[in-house]
Amino acid sequence: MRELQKLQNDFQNYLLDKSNAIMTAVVDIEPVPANIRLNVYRDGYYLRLLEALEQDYEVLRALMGAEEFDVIARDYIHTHPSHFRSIRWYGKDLSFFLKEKTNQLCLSEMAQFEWLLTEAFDAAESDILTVEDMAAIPPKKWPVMRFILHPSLRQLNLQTNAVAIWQSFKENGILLTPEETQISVPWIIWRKELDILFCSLDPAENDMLQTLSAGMPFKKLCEGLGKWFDEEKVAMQAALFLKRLMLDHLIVGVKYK
Amino acid sequence: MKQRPYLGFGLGLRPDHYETILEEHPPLDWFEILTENYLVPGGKPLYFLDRIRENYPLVMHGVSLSIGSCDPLDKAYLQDVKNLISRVEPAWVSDHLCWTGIHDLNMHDLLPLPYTMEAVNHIVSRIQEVQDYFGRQILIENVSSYLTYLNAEMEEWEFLAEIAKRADCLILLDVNNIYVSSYNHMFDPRDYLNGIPKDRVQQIHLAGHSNQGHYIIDTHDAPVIQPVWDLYALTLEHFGPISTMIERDDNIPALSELLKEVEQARQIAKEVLEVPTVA
Repeated sequence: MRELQKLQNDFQNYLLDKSNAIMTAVVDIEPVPANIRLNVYRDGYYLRLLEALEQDYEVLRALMGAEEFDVIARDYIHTHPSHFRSIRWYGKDLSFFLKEKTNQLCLSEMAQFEWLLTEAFDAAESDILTVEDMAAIPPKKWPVMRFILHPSLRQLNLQTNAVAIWQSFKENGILLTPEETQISVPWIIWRKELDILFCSLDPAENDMLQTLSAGMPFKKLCEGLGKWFDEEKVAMQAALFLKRLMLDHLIVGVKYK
Repeated sequence: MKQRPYLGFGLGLRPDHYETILEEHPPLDWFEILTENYLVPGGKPLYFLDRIRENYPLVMHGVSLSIGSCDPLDKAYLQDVKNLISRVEPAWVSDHLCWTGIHDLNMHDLLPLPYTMEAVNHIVSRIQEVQDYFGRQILIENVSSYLTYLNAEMEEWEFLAEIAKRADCLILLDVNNIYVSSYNHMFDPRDYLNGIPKDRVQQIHLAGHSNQGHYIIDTHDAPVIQPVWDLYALTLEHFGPISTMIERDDNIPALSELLKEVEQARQIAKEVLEVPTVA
């Protein structure tokens, strides 16, 4: 298998722009010389990955402009050969890459937001916990119950108006000017049935969600709310928040350990 | 000769058409799904897949098996495909006679293999391993190619035939790919058809391509051209009735446009032979 292995190694290195060694293994016949034939594959490699990035990052591309996006994409493709069995996952690290490569926070945040939308799109299914299910749980169990959140839930903190830009572009084709905010705003993205939804959270809601995400029991949720509400309002606020999460199909079950 | 299963005339299932298919129940005998599109945990792709499966037979067509690669077979991928097979219960499962990368990288392309005995031996053992793992025969598809290796010891059709016989697998014959490769490598496509064992061919792909003048690129982004329809008619004359589908991957038109192409395939088959009725 040594010859086959060498050939594949040389071929792949040509696609990755690392070596021309494969040229000597390819028949060179007019009117299409070996390098043109090989370049069909090399160009195809780049174009396929570029197309995958364009599909996943439509608004980022509009925000950057096609030319600048192409430059960044080429750089990303050059430094990130694909380890993924499906090209659907190829753009996974673009937001991290943009954070390193540009000083425009809005670009990396837009990339992060658009990527998490794609993750929510085909995340795992789950049955949901309904308000009726919840009402059937005996009150004595409430303090120790822990909540299991929907597998599509994604959380992120944004310091720019990336979501407003995304919405404006998607709804009206208008690109808003990027702006940085004074404080970081927590956002969640999830799938409810087949629809992808997102919303921002206020600080108290975010605290509650962090507590739930960490697998802490209801008792801890209420304790944490003491920071935001008067003692007599804590249980009501916790119940209201849980009800909202259930109606949004964000809680899929409870456990007691 | 063993009777091969016959599904009739089908189409590659694409997300653009999900809703139209469920609403209109188009007159198609079957769909081919792209395996990798459904190796996801959940969401829309699997939702529509399950609903379409209720109304149509499906076959699975993969692009990531990389049967010719010198990397070890990806066992996690095989397990995921096997799980999807259990969910879909496809009439059959196919992938390509190619390699897609080595050293754990994926070039996301159907890269050409050298037509050597070394490659034949390597691929035969891997197909056998895959078939043992799935507990069923698989189909391998001829890919379009743009180059020839200096170390080639045989013609492409000899390579495909030898592998199919020795691995005891079946063949998905892409008629457009035969046309594209015959143009790019200047061979007679009839030699190709004559070199393929008749009892191994179970499915046909028809697609469009992009002619660059001195060479053709297999883009699957355009309607099937007349010379490919002509070659399809020759293929049916040679092999008899074979389940046939239109494969469009890019520049995807309305479903009604593709149904016209499916109908054209059906008419050609009708003219060339007595088409059996699908049960």
